[in-house]
Amino acid sequence: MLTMFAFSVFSFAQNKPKLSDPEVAFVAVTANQIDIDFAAIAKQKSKDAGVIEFANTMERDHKAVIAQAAALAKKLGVTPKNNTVAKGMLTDAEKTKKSLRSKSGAAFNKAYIDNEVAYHKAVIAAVENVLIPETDNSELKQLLQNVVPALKAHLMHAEMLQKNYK
Amino acid sequence: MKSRFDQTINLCALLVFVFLMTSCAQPVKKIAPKSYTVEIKAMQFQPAELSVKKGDTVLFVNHDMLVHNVTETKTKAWGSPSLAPDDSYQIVVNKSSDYYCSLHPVMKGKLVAE
Repeated sequence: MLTMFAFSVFSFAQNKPKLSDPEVAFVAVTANQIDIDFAAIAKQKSKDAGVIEFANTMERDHKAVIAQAAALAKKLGVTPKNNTVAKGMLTDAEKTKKSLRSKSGAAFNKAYIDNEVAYHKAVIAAVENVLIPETDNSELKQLLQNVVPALKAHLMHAEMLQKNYK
Repeated sequence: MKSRFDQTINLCALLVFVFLMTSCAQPVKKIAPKSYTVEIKAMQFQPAELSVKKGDTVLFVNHDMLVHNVTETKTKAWGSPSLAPDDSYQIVVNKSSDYYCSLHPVMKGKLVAE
């Protein structure tokens, strides 16, 4: 079930749909919000210090990115626009959240961290291969480029933790 | 028996010697501590490794878009509070240490005290 989400986002990155800047902004905010939602479930369900610490970092960092995206959209006078890509991501995220909520204990910790690895891999691919190339506005493009090192650090952190939850 | 002239010459020579000795002996100069900056940028400490003299100062400046901290790795002997973008934290280096960001453990750095 958890790999389904990653597959969907990867296919979106491979299909390279045409997106306007307001649509790119909406997809970027949606991608961050989905990981905040995953973190909320982890904080609710896990008792593991490593998992909770990681979830806190995901929540703090992705909220910071959303705040910067919102500030930039306001500055540029752009209203993020919902689109089929974002809708597809949210549908897949609901399935993943349902699957996560059905687990507990060690099984939950493993499922959450495995999903974080898959999700960050998928989002990095989507940002690098679709969102950045599709963006026209230079400031929005720069913001997306600035986010990539954070996503890669999150991925490395999740992979580091993954060794503890086999 | 030395003449008064010889005694005067010897005295002058002694005075010249003492003058030369005191004028040549420079006081030991203390090297003033230097200040260095480590930037936190793109999820990295830049430079990741920094060599300084004991007593030098290192200023960590967060130029990234996210909150970070600077924490000594081995025993958490020293560490900054959470650093929001544009916040900074300064330490005086007295010994070599590895450090990292405890919020993002893949971010690592090293201070070498010479």
